[in-house]
Amino acid sequence: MVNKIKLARMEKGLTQSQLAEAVGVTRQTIGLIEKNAYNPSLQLCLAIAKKLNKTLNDLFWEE
Amino acid sequence: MNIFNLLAQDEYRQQRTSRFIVEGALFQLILSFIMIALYLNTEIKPLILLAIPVFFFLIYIVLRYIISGIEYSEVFSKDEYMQMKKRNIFRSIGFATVFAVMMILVKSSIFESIAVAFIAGVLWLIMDTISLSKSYRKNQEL
Repeated sequence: MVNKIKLARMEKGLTQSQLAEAVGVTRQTIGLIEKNAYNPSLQLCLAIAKKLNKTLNDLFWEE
Repeated sequence: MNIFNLLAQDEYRQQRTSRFIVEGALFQLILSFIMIALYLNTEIKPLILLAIPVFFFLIYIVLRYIISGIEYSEVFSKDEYMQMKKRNIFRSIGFATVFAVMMILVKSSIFESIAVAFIAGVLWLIMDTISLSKSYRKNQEL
């Protein structure tokens, strides 16, 4: 699943560790999600979207 | 209560660990059928036939967990890697010492107890080192 989390995170000025801590996962998990190597659960997607002030469409919708 | 929370708090690690357990259980089931066939057709002791699938299950999960590189999910820099390496050495020494003391209390042979504890400590350290190295390499790619 392609996503724009890395871009949104950088726009917000957060590190992988900060985002990971905020949503309750490890930095490795955030790295894998950004690399499209792991599909997060809907619960985690929502937590990430809320933290980055984005909608699920902004982060995960492919044009 | 979610039983997966006993495995890990992180959902990726939870998912991977449950996958290893399911794979291990499947192999254990297949092995159990093989052991039943062996029990019916050979003279091998039933206890050995019973133990093989169980040990295979445990060893399979541990090896998969170590090789997957998910244990040290926060080790990204060389400093963190070296720090963790040092911590693992001390942890192994601690483990071997406690193991040796327990063995001496249970068994009377001091030499045998120390030898077994030493081997256990070395195995512990090897597993930790492989796991750390795999995790570090995996994290480097992220």
